[in-house]
Amino acid sequence: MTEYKKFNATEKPEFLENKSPSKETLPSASELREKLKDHKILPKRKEVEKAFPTYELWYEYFSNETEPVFDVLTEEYIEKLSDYLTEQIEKYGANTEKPLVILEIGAGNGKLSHFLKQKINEKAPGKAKVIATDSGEWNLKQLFEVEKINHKDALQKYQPDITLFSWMPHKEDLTKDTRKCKNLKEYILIGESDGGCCGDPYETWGRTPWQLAEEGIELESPYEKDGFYRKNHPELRKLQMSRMDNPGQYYHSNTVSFIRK
Amino acid sequence: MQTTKFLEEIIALENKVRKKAQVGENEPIPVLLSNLKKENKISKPTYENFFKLWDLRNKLYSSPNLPNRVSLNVYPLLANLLHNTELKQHD
Repeated sequence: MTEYKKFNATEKPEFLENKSPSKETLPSASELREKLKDHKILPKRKEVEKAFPTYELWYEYFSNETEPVFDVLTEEYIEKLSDYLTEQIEKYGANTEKPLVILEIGAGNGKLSHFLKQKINEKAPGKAKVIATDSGEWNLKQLFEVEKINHKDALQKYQPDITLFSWMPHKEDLTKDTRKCKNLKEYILIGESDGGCCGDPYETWGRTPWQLAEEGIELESPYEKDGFYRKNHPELRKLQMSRMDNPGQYYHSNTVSFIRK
Repeated sequence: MQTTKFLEEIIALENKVRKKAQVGENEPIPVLLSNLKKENKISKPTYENFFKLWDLRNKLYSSPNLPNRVSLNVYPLLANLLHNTELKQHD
């Protein structure tokens, strides 16, 4: 007589033992929106895409008064940006005795530096020091460690090799001061570039004011005058999602390096 | 005018300009507009009016706290540009 194994509802049948689910199913859009209310987590891009199918829902998310969102940081973006910074660690010859100093200015809630630090430490342990700073002028809610210090004092104190600035305020330019830092090899700007809502069109991005361009005048860009050249990061740009976007059309935000010649 | 509505309409306007200029998403709007003006595909008033709205749009997005409404004065300007025949794609 055949002996039958006692049925156990929690045990996976043998024929499924080594098989993974055919497709990962995401929670519903409303469940994802609930999850994304916790700004300390780093979501996957597809979770953000699913959570906000309409502009109204997207607007509600990014315009939250206590925790406004500018660029939505995702796992994929942090992974790629940390890959780039790890390459720069090698390029600039940093090591555990002399780690690369990466200073974030205007760090806001500290999320970008926090996750970059984690990733870079996995890829190049001890070879970089990531520091988040913010003047505190906007009084944003801090989620992670951020040192309250203005940008000039931060540059003076840390003498960074690389600076990061995500979403420099509209028509303000802090890159001029950054370039004066003698040790600086590169600065990276994240946000809408070239006459968009971040920085100053001319001082930051070198765009001749349109009133002069009309008359055929083209000004030399300040960063070129100071001995830097521009490097765009299209591989990062395609991963970015920002408040200027419409669900399904994510393209406004950019990541751009300015590197000392 | 509600800020949400204003920003949604600006996106629609931007899409129109990109279609008019027959370029994708990589070119910044200020560059696109300059090119259209150089090619005489838009007039100077259209060009200048668009920049006024673009400037307001930039200020709004750059702020951590967006106001609920924008000035009513922008509405005629916005409506005019949205329905502007100059911004229509010509075959």
